[in-house]
This record gives sequence, structure tokens and C-alpha cells, in this order.
Amino acid sequence: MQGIGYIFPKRPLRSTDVLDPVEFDADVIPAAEKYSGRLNAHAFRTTLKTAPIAVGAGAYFRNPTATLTPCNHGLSLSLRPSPAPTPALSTRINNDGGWQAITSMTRALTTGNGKVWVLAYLQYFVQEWGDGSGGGDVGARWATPFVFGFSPANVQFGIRIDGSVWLPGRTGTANFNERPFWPIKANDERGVGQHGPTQPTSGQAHALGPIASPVRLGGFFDVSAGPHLIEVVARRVMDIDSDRRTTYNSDNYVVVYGRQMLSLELPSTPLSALSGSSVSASAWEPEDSFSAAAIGTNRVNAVRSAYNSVAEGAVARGAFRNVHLPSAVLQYRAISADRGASAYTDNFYPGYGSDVLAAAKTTDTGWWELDTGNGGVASGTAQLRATPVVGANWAGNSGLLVVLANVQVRSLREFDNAAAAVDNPLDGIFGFLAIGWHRDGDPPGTVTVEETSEAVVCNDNKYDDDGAANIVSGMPFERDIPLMYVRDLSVSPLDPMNYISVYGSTLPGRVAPAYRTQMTWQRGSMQVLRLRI
Amino acid sequence: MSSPANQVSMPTPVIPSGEAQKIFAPGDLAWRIENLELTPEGTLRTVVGPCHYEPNRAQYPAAYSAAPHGIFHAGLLGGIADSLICHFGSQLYRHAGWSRNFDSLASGLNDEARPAWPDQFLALGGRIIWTNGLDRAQVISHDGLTVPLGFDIRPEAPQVLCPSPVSSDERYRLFRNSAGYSWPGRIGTLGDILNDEEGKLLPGKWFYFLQYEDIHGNLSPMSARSNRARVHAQSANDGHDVGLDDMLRQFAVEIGGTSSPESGGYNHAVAMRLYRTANVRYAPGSPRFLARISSIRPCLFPDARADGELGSEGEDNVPVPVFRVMSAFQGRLAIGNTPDDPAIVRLSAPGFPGTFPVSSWIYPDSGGAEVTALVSHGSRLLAFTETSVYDISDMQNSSVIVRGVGCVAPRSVAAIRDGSLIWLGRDGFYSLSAGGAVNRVSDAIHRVVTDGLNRGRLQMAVSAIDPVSGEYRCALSPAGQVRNRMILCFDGASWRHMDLGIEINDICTTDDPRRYMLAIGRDLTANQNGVFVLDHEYQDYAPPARTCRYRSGWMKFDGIGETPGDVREIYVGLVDGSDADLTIEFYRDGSWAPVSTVSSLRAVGVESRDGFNSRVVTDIAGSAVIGTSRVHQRRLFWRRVPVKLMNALSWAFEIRATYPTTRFEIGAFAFDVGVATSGNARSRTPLHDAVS
Repeated sequence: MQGIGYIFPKRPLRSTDVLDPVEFDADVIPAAEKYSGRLNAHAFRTTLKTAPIAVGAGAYFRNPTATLTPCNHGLSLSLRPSPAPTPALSTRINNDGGWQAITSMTRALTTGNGKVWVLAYLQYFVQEWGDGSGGGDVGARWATPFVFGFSPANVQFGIRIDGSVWLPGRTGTANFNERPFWPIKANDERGVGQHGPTQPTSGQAHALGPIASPVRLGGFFDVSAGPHLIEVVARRVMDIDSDRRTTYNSDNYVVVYGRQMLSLELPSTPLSALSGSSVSASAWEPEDSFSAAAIGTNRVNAVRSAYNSVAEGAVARGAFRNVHLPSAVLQYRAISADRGASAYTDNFYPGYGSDVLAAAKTTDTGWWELDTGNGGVASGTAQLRATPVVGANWAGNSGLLVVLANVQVRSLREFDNAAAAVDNPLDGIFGFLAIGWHRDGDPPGTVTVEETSEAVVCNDNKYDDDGAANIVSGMPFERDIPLMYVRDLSVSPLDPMNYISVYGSTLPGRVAPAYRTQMTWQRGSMQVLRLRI
Repeated sequence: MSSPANQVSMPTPVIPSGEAQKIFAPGDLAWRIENLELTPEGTLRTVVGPCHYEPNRAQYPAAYSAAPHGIFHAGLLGGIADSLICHFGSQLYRHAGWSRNFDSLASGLNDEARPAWPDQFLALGGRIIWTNGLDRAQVISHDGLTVPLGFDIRPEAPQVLCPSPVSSDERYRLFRNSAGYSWPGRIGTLGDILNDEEGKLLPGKWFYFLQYEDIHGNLSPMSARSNRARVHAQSANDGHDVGLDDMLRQFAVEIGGTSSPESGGYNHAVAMRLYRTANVRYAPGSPRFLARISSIRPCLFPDARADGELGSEGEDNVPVPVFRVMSAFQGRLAIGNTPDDPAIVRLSAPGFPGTFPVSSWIYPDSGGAEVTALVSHGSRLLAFTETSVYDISDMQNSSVIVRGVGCVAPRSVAAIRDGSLIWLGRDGFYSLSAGGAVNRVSDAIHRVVTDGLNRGRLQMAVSAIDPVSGEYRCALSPAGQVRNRMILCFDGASWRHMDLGIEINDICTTDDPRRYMLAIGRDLTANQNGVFVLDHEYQDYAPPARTCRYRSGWMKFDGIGETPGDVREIYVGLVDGSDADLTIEFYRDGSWAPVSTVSSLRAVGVESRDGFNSRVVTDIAGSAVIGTSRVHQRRLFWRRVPVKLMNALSWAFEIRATYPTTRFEIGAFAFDVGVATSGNARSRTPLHDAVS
């Protein structure tokens, strides 16, 4: 690697000049000093990046940690089995309003000055303690509103850095005054005692209300040099009863199942070289011999050679810029899909951790790639498929893979097979989304679906207008469902991928296949990053 | 004979009779020193350089084809981001480094052929701010991001949707505020009887305001206020099951946003800040912070926040004007002399140089004189007009430092190492000492200042402090010329001239250990624009040839110059320069017609003396033998020059050589002079009507 110092000699030696040691020093010594750890961005050609440059570990990112914690929630085509209250690797949130760290979502790391990028993803459910009344189970059960009444989760998640929960990143607000509205208005306000669009007076949700939902958190946090503790935390906030009194739920609880966490340090100052490098050009002394060795070997040649082959330690911190260096992003792809109108998927959920693909969309069990909705796989932006990493580009099989996706789920509706029509919409039916991939060399028609990326949603948007049996459910769902998958390829290599895509499936509220569930979606996006770590 | 004028503008030393009775330093006798620089030892040496900053490897950067205007260097990010900013033609450029052209940072700027004000740069808060007095000021970040300084527009007022009263014939079934945009919220003022059954929602009015926020956190002026949001009085119960809280409403605010970057809008805007008044029927109508919206796109903001939950009052700012002078002051940016208001100075918010609160301004001069310079010096913010200097550190309580002395060139202001501030006034250079005294320091070159400069171009003077010598260098336009070419150098005691053969549109020093002085301008010999490094040279570029000259003042034999004398010999103390000859000329009786010329004053000492051979001359570069020759410290030596001026009343001399052919270094002078004895010396003063 060659460098140039933008150091200017005092004056070229002319034939009438005295051989002045001071001027000789002024010509050479500044260049030697510049070389010794102060070469900056101007000193290097942009063609540097085309050379085979090895980026040192930690040059761009440090402390990469990607943790995946699978946890089977137990849902399957068997109609809503009773879950274990605390299945292995799950975390149950205490009903005490206090922040609580989620198991396996903590990081203790020692950083330099910089930022830490944290991404976290989890799936939670509300479960209830059944008392056997009304034909319900005794013990833990899914708290689906259709059967057991509406029990908002009222749960908050956040990222806690060194004991302080990051305020902007908390999910939802624990604020009685930020209750949801019902978008209805009475014709006779005075008659019903409701002034305009009003709010529910019982079972009100604040913070996060859905009884089953994936949650994705993330942020960049300034850190100073030293040890830090990063935790994903959760707490339940108080329920609000019909008299606007608050109380902690005692008959239901929130359980966190599968989850992922990524933490990555982004140093604000570049690493220092392992050892400094310098070139010595000693000062001339009066009456020193004007020899070839004194001029060349010991001074000019030494400095010239140093500039023609710059060592690591000669470079100033931060000297290399994006114009010089290979990108910190090995590969990337961002796609978005807009169906124009809602598409649906209603194949049956194959079970947690299953890679089975459905052979037919409407009756089979397995995952179905989100597509046109008519069974075919569309091309272009009609589906959520990214082809970011193909062939030789995957070479090296290293880096940090980060996949973020979002799907606009518009509704979950029950479909009556016998009637061949959408039935009276019901709540208590589940929709599933997950990230899967097809690797170079995988047989056609096979994929790997990452279980920890699974997002489970339940149609809980209902309106109980009189508290009796007149439940109106299936109101517009319209939820932005996040998905995430992270993988440290240097720890867990993957074969080259052909594509990464989003898959869906559903579970019906009643016995399949007489009934099945249609999950409609319209828009979606996916970003795939492979970072050089 | 020395004239009264000469007594003011040049030294007229008295040389005592005798043979080298006294040794004079060069500065003691000099009247005009051209292209000689002061060495750390106090000697005068020929100036070297300049050379191009970006050597002509294949061809000069394309930027050089445009007219040079301004230059600035800063080591941002603690020195990591080496930022050399140049203004050529209509663009701002950043030097990119080896094998790269200059990066264009901003384009479409005025390429004024006859600018009235020089470019100004400063580094503040890790960013560089530039103005030329014609275009919107720009802020340059370490990564080259260049955006306008703050906002020069006032955002469009937001529009608000609110409840409207239902018609009277519907009130039997609807509450009064149920029409229009009517949703529950927490906005409203409750009054009268405060219980759930009999309380009352009082009538109220609210207004909204909007500010843009740029990528550096600067805030725009506050928008005009929105249309009125209103709720009408309404009783709480009215016989029905509605409580006080149920009467409170929310509003929806329609925000137009700003143009997208793609359409050439304010692409440095990154967010909007929304403000709202409390209920103006019962509270002041000042805007209070409501929300920061991390977008500049049109949006609808639902507002349900109670008056008591509003944040602090938002301050209105002025649109950032074009300005001609600026200075950093305690983390703020002081700007002055706007096209619409040449007498005003505004001060930004701390840490936000593009946010100028409407309340932070001053007219330093009670007569409304144009502000010609701003400078932060000695913990004070000084404002200059052409005739006065003001301390405006406290804008509520400013004071006059001096009247009758002002500044005509904003870029002439600089602080030298003794803590004094130097600037160019109408009639010379002035100094404000650390003790607060204002003195004219250019009396020694007063003739040059009054007659040797283009007075119409004084405001374009640019200056910098040489980081090596610490001397003040100011580039100005010589009389009859329109470009800065003459450099006046002041070391705190004496002045020198430089003419390097280049026009200097701007000058700066590097903010790094290299300590270079850089100039942007034009090589008049090669007709090539460029960025030049002063005081340095390399093989690939020959600096324009020039004459290096030392000219003494008129020396006398008594205090008034009426005693005739004989100058027999002059002893010139030189330091080994080059193996070449200098020319020395002598003058007498106030006339610059040479009476004697010696063209063989050797600029290097003798090779051997008294059997000792120094080998300095043998080892001159052109004849040195590698392996045999040695390097030699430059020696101070004396040369004796016969003069033989007889019966002169005053006399002077000039030593000169052409650079780069010859280099020399002057260390001292001594003289062998004597009074011409022939009766009463003063009897030889010419009679009142003598012509020869």
C-alpha cells in the first residue's frame, strides 16, 4: 500500500545552495513525522479498496452476539390445547407492575466508546387460569376472547441499559388517558350517556393489548467505555375496570415464548493499530558526511520506502474512509410488496419448528409462501421474497445476517368450508407468519422455516357492546406484523441461499377442515443485511 | 536630507562617526523589506515558495479552471477529518486527497467577478460555516455533508380540525360540541362547580404553530398561528350520565410539511416541532411545545394533550439572512451586516449556529453604521464599523471601545501571539492590546498604506497568522490593481512586504501539525489558478521569479540631517546563502537615483582564512562530491563594501537579488563613516534660492 503525505519540502536543492543541515531536515523530517502515525485520508488512493484488503476483526463492529431461543407454544391443528403454564425456556411476566428481565435476552458486554445496536424479537401470549366454569378447562389455557372473554395483555416491553429502561423504545404507554376509542357515535348521545366517539369502560387496554403478538424492539444506544448490561425487559401494567379503577390481574398472565436478540457494538473511534509504525530520519548535524548512505539509505530512501509500503501503524485513526475501504455491508436487499388488494393464505399451521410446506393452499397442512393468493407464486414485488445472496456472493460464509420484515395483516376470518364462504367472522383464530429460506442445493419445494422468527397473531379485535352474547368480532384487524431473523454466520454458517421469503399459515377456531381461517395481507417489506463483522 | 514625511514613514537613524562603532540589526534601518522573511535568529532571509498544494500529476484539478474565492482548513473530529475547503467559481469544494479530484460540496453559488466582501469561514461545534455575503451561508460537516445554515423561510401554518357546535334543534339528543371533529381527549378548561354532576366545560380557543428542525438541530422561524381550534361551553351532566372528563375533547392538526428533497425542497429539514397555546381565553397565547414529529412529510397529528401537559414555551426565530460578517462567540454564531440591515448583529442560540432567536440582536452603532467586522477576542465579542469598535458581549449593555478608529476589512482581523488584535482601518493597521489600548501600528509603512494600496479594495484584504513565525500577514491590492497581490507582514515590531507573483484571493493556515499557510489564487506567470502552499517549494513547480530587496531608510550624521558626512565603507553581516552575487546600490541626499552600484556582493562567506579551510564553498550543492563533501551550518560572516560617498547629508542603500537564482540572509550592518570636515558643516546647507 502506498501513501502520500501532503508534506511539502522547504525548497528543492539548487546548484548554488549551501549544504545546510537545517534545510535538509526541513525537507525530510516532516515527511517522516507524518508517516509515523499521522497519515490521513488524503494520503491514500481510492483504488485502495480494490486491493485484497483484509478488514481486521472489530474494525467495523465489535461484540456481535445473535441469540435464538426457540420455545414451543404448543399450538397445533388440535384445537387450542391447554398450554403448560411455564414451558421450557419460556418467561412468565409477573403481575406486579415491575420491570422484569426476560431470560436469555440479556447481554453483559464490555465496550469502548460508541453505540450498541440492539434488536430484539419475541412472541408473547396471554394465558388464563381456568376455573372450570362454563365448560372451560381447569388450569392454564389460551386466553382467547371468543371463549373466555376479553383479557387485554396490558404488557410493556422495553430495552434496559445499565438499569435504565430506554423511554422512547417502550412498547405502548401505561397511561389510563391513552385508551383506545371506539369509532362509533350514538345517534342519541344524551340517551346513552356517551359524548361522541367514546371509550370502553371495561376491560380497557393500554400498553400492548393484543392477547398474542410478536414484538420487535430495537435501537442504538450511546455507550462509554466499560462494562454494560443490556436487557430486554417486560412488565404488566394495571387493568382498568368499569369504574376506572386499576388493579393487577390475578387470573391471567403473560408468557414470552420464542425470541431472538442481537447486540452489536459500533465503535465511534476506529481501533488503534496493534503497534505503531514509524520511520526514522535523524536530524543532520553540522559537518556530517554528505554520503549516499546519509542522504539515501538513512533518510530519503527510508522515508520513500516507508511511503511506498505503508505499514498499519503508520495510519492515523480514522484515516480510511468509505472511499478506501470495503463496505461494512457485505450484501443487502430491500424489497416491498403491495398486492393492491388483499391476498390471503388459509393453509393449516404445521406446528412449531416444522419446515413442511403445504402442497395445496386451502386444504393442506404446512407453510405457504405469501404470494398472489391464488395458489401461484408471483414474481417481482408481488411476493415477499428476497434473493439477496446467491452464488459466489455468499463466499466466505461469514458475517452477520439480519433479516427484518413487516407484513400488513388486514384480517383473520373464519371460512366455512361447507358453505364455501367466509363465515360470520370469529375471533380466537390464529394466524402465523415466519421467515424461511431456500439454500443453493436444497431440493425444490423445500425450505427451512426459522421457528424463532415465528409471529402468531390472534383476532382479538372485537366489540362487546352490551356485555352479553352479542359479540361483534372480526372487525378490521389492520396490524403491522414484524418479523425478524438474525444469525451470526461466523458461528453458524449457512450454505449459499437462493432466496429468503415470508411464509404463512393459520389455525381455525373450529374443527378443521370444516372450518379454516383466512389471513389476508396486502403490503409487506423485507430488508436483508449481511454485515461484515 | 530627510523630509518631514519621511520622518514619519521611514527610519532616519543617525549613524555615529567612526569605523563600525555600532552594529545595527536589519530591522533597525529598514524602510522597505521585500520578499524577505524573519528567521528565528532575527535575520532576514529570502522567502521561498510557493508551490501548488495539489501537484500537477496529470493535470490540475478541474476546480482550478474556475475563479478562486475562498479557502479554509480545519481538522474536524479531533483532527481525523482533514477538511480543506475551497471556493472556486460557483462551487464549494473539499480536497479529497491523492489521485482524486476535489469533491463538490455545494453548487449554484454566486461566482462574483468583483466581490465586495471576501469569503468567510469558521469552525464551530465540529462543523465549518461559510458565507460570502451573497449566498445563503452553508454548513459543512466532517463527512462533506453541506446544507444551508438554518432556515430562511417561515413554515406554513398548520390547519386544525376541532369540534363545532351542533345546531340548536339537535341539542335535545346531542351534546353541544358533538359536531365536526369531536373525539374524547383531555383538552378543555373545566370551571364553575367542579363535580361530575354539575361542572361545566368553559369555552376555549387554542392555536397551533409549527417549526422545522434541520439535521443539525437548528430551528426555523415559528409559523404563523393556525386557524382557531375551539370548544363551546357545555354543562357536564345536563341530566345525563356524562362526567367532566367526558366533555374534554381532542383536535386534529393538519401539517403540510415541506418539500421533498427530490423536488429541491429543504432537504436538510429532518423534523417538525408542533406547538400549541393553552386556552387563550384564560392563559397567555404563547406557543408551548407539544410534539416533535420525526418527519417533514404532510401528516395529521391528533392532539389530546391537556394544557397542563404542554412543554416549555417555544421561541420564535428569524429567518437566517444572508450576512457579510460573522464570528463564533461562546458556542454561538454572531452574524452581522445583512443586505437589508447592514447595521445589525444577531447572535444564535448556543450550540445551534443556525437558530437566531428574534430577541437576540443589537445595533452596535447608534447611528446605524454598517458593521464591517465581528470578532471574538479576549472573552469579548467585538463589533467594528469603519469608524468605531464596540464591545457587544452583553447585547443589553454594550459599550464603545474606541471611536474614530474602525475596521474596513473583515478578514484583516487577527490576533497575534502577544495577545494583541490587529486589523486594517481606514488609515492603517491598528492594534488592540491585551490591556485594552488601541494604537496604530503601521506608522512605519504609513506611506504604503496611504498611497500604495487600492483603497477601494481594502475590504477584500485577507489575513492570517503564520503558524511558524507567528507574524501577521495581510494580502491586499496594490494601488492601481484590483487583486490582492501585496502581502504586508508584521512581526509585532516591524513590517515587511511580500510579492510572490501570485494573486491571493484568500489565505488560511492548516489546523494540523504541518502548520502550513495556504493561499487560493492565481499564478500570474503561468496564468494558472490553484491552491498554493506558501514558504515551500518542490521540483515540479517553479515559483514566479521575484526580486528580494532590503532597502534602508535615510541615514544621517546628526539628528536633523544637516551635517554632511563621508561614507567610506559598509560592513554587511550575512549568513551563508548561496554561491551567488548580490547587488547593493547606494543613494544620497534623499534621491533614489543610485550613485554607486556593487554587483558582486557574495552571498556566501569565504572558503578559507588564515590557513583554515571551511569547505563551505567547495561543498556547494552544484559541486559537492557525494561521499566526500559534508554539510555545514550556515555561518555569519562579514563583507566589506567600499562606498565612497563623500559630503552627503543623508544616504541609503539597497541590497537585492533575484529569486530563485540567489538566496541570501542578512544578519547585521556596520558602517565606516565620518563627518565631512570643511568649516562649519551647516554653512553648506543650500541657500534659499539655490538650484544647483
